[in-house]
Amino acid sequence: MLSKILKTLRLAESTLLVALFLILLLVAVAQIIARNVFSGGILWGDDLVRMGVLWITMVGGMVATGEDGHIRIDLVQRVANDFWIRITRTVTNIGASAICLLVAYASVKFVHWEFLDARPGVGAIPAWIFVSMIPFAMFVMGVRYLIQVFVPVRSS
Amino acid sequence: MIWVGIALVLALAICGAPLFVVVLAAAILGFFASDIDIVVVAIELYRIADTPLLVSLPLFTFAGYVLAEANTSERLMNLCRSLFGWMPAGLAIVGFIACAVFTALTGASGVTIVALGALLLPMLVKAGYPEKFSLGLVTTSGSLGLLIVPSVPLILYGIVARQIDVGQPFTIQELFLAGLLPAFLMIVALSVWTIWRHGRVDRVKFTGSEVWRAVVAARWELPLPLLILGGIYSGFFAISEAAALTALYALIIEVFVYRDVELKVLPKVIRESMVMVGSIILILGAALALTNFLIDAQVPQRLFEVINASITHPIVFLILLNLLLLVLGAILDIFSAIVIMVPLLLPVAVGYGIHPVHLGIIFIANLQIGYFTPPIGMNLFIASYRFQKPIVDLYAASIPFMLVLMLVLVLVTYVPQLSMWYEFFK
Repeated sequence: MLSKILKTLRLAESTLLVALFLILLLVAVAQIIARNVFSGGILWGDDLVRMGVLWITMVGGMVATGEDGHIRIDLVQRVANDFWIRITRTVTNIGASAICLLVAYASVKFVHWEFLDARPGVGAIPAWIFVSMIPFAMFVMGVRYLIQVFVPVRSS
Repeated sequence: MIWVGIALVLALAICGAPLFVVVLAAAILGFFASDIDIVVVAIELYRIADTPLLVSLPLFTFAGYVLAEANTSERLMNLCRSLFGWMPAGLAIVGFIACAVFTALTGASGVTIVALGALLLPMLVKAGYPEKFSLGLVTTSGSLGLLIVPSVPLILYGIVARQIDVGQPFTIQELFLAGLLPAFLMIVALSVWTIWRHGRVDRVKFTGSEVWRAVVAARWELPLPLLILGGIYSGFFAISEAAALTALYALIIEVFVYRDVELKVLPKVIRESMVMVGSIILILGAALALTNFLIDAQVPQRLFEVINASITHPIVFLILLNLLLLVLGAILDIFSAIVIMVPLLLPVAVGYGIHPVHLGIIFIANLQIGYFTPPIGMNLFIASYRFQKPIVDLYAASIPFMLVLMLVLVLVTYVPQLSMWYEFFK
């Protein structure tokens, strides 16, 4: 049951990532056509593309955490034996989890400020909705690293 | 207390914590020590959405992944061979050129070794080149081309360097122009050396029909460099527009025209490329936060004062910079090295009278060599894995290539005009 839920979540996450990229690509291309052919642009196009990059970054980061795909200095992995690899992995997972959760907490505060400011984001959608992805992704990554302390992922 | 924090961050880095976490931790530590609310870190991360140039990264990276998934490497190889195969040591030179072009397009140099190297290695050995030479070629050429547009590290350097105000503004186009001559010099130096050592090995006859056949096979991919180079240098497209068109064009030709990439595989390609991009930009976002703290704390100025107290001559500084970057290039991956080290080193280098564009070229050229610097350069491991050869064999195979490229690196470092040649045409 649990593994089924996890699988569905992972699929949803990947689907979101793919969809975000396709939207980014389409809007970016539409913007070029609008500018060069109709000599105007989509008013919210540039904003959407910028927010798209933020979301791709955060969702991409979440997916990378799930499959141990983040860039790291893998000096230890290249030279150490299994025992030390396990030890260092545990230490770094605990550290990574703590930092991600701390940043998630700090970003919630930021989202709250943005909410109070009610700054525009893309078209009529306020910015805080887009900013919310930062604490959400950081929280997911924090929890994932915590889980990985107990259930290590196979390195990709 | 602060030293305990610094020690912890360093320990996390060396033990192999994800780099974005390490950089975030350093930033948090800095703000914490300066009594600044760490909500600043979140605000800085949000700057990811405030850097218009950044959108070119996912688009170019995706284009590179699609091309790597398709049979582009084979068509590129055939085309180069038909064009340059008649030269002495033709096949090796073809290898250099094809690898450089492929790396410029795909950015991540591991891809070049895996896709092109695997194709090239048996061809080289069969043509009569010693195995050691052939292995060295495919291993070291995996990062050749990082100085050629639209290589992602080059764009990333531009993005990071332009965020830091050092009073010497430059455009991304200038950076792109600056990379061309050094990259060309590297290919020429490697070719000359190869002709000298293995000039007698194989040559294929130049035949118009062969060239025609290769051109026809690659006809849909040939406009790509034109689209990118022409679009950007003519000023017709902004970088991000060229990136969007490149991504769309690569998608259309590889999925619908060549049908090398099946539609059902496309989500996987998108996903993989976006995970890569996500992890790079995440480090960049974290580095923006750290940079903000470093500049607030005047760390680059202090660093300059400390270094300047013992090193007054720019040349000595450049030598040390070269050495530092070679080591860093072997330890860190190129993206992290750029986003972490550029904010620190750029103000120092400018203090010594080095132009940001020139520094960028020195940076990338160094890191390019760092990719296969023994004992831990990443490409050595990728090649060892891909070709099933002991890593020690690859050390020996790579060193001659490394020496040749170091020679060019020295030239590029100490003759700024090689990078800043575009100034003459202003």
